[in-house]
Amino acid sequence: MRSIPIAPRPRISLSARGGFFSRALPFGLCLILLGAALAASVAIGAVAITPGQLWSILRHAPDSAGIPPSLTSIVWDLRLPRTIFIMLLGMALASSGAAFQGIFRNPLADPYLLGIGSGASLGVAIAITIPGFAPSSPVIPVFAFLGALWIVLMVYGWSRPGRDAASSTRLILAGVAAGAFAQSLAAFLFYRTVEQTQRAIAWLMGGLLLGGWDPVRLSLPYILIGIAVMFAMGRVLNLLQFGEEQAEQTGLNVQRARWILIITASMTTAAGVAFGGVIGFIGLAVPHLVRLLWGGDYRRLLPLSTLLGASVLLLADLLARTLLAPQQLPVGIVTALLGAPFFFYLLRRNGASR
Amino acid sequence: MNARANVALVLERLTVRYPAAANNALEQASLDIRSGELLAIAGPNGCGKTTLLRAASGVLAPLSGLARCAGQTHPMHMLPPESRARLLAVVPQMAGLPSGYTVAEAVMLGRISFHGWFGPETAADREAVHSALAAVGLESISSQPIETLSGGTAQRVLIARALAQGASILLMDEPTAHLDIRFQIETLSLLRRFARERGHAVVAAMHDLNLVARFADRVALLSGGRLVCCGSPQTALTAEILSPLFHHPMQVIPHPLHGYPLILPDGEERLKSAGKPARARKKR
Repeated sequence: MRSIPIAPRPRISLSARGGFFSRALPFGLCLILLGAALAASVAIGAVAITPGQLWSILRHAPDSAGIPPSLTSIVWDLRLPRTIFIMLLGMALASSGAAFQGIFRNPLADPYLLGIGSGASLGVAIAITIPGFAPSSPVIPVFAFLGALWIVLMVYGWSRPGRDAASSTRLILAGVAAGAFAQSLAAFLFYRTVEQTQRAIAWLMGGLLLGGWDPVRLSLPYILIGIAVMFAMGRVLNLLQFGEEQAEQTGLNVQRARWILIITASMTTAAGVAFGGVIGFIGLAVPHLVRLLWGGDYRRLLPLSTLLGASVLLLADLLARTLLAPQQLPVGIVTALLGAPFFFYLLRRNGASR
Repeated sequence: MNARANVALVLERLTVRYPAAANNALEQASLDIRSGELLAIAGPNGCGKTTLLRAASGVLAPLSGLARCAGQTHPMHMLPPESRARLLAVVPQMAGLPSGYTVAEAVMLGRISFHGWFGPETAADREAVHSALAAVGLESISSQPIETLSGGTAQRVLIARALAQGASILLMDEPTAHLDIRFQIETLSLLRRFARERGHAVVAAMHDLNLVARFADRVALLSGGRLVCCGSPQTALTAEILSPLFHHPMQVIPHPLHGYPLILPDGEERLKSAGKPARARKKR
């Protein structure tokens, strides 16, 4: 067959798909950004800590540098656990957002807009109203997961008339309705039973429910396992982008793949939400940014979104802590302030292309 | 002619009904699909061409009847997708391709039943992708992003992905839709070569009857979900069969040079003389 002349690539993207260096570059950039965000998150706060002091404290050598014990305690008991948890939360939200976008083949899918975060918070609210369950109980993430799963099944059931990609409008409408319902129910339960109502309501908007290392300890296993499973499903997600029927005819057990992905992404989201509250738009915006910069291959998109999501949420948290200092805003308020305009931008772009 | 020996896929009284539909989309369709032939499926819009391909590929469970590959005990829709993909490959009707993959990466996805969800791509996989790309003439652009390809080239990427599955049966849904004349001829020549040289069984749902007449070894005509007739283009594509099938008068004459049937649908002038006013005239 004659060869067909192909015009040179019109679109210039940061990802040259060729050599090792150009493939590794995005990962390097994201890792550097994450390192900087981690350091800033620990160093900046009501008490400023210099990089030298931080380094000494982290190396367990504060005495030699003449650092007061209170500073050591601030780093180890307050800043570090919060920073690590926020990092995990950002990873969980961005990776599951990318996965949901792939499962539903819908650029607007996001754990928050699909109502999954609110479902998880309802699960937590129910668990806390049961006498004897403290907010630090290990059953909290399990309840969060069940709540998230309930919402995702409901939203998926409502919005899926045929075999094709769930339609954007129905999916988002169902998600927003289910999310509002679950969130209101959770707030209702809190007002009825919990003494520290204000803190609980702040948590619903994306504040931390607990201080210290408990959130990290309790959510770490779920988030790490979930992220690992989603990373491994990159090839499967790629095939799903061609449509469910094509994927099946190409040899993919679509039903099985979809359920594993839905359950994993819900679990990952829920483990973060259980202690970090409902935080919007990270799962929407971060994978989009990665897709625009470095392309839509899920084998790269998922890890890059995970790294970038952690950095973005750390920076948003930094803003939330410093904007109205000494008051702390729930980080969900900051992400919504920055993310909602981005959502409208996507909506416009999507509307124009259809 | 030893026709029974090389049957690759059998459809036995295949009947399909979509949920909430009043009628069967496919009614008792029985058809032998043979290795080494290009079989065209033709008929008016909504006659069940795509349904027949979907049911034959096993993604649709039939209401009754079955589709079964030669040498298999289970019908297609009972097999797991991984096994189906190695027996039979489907090239869907061209729609937009997702972005973010190179040509080679898209074709490699056809190997998922070999390396699984997580396994590494083996040398055999790379070899299969390479030879599939060579078969459709795309080796030189294997690292192009698929979202930048023209319709005809994108179609060939999907054909290459189907070849990479290693199946000996190829089902094509309107392989020439949206292609210009040159790509139509190229694509169908390619499909006929796969049948002749590799012994594949190639089934193509097609709209253009003249392309069917020129390239198909046999043609199956569908109407309202029923198989009306099946035979060589010379015997099946006649004015007596086609005119009632499409509810439109047609002339069929032999090609002046090659002898295969040329189908000429009657135009406005003939319709007018038959007493039906043309729409253009009505407006004035």
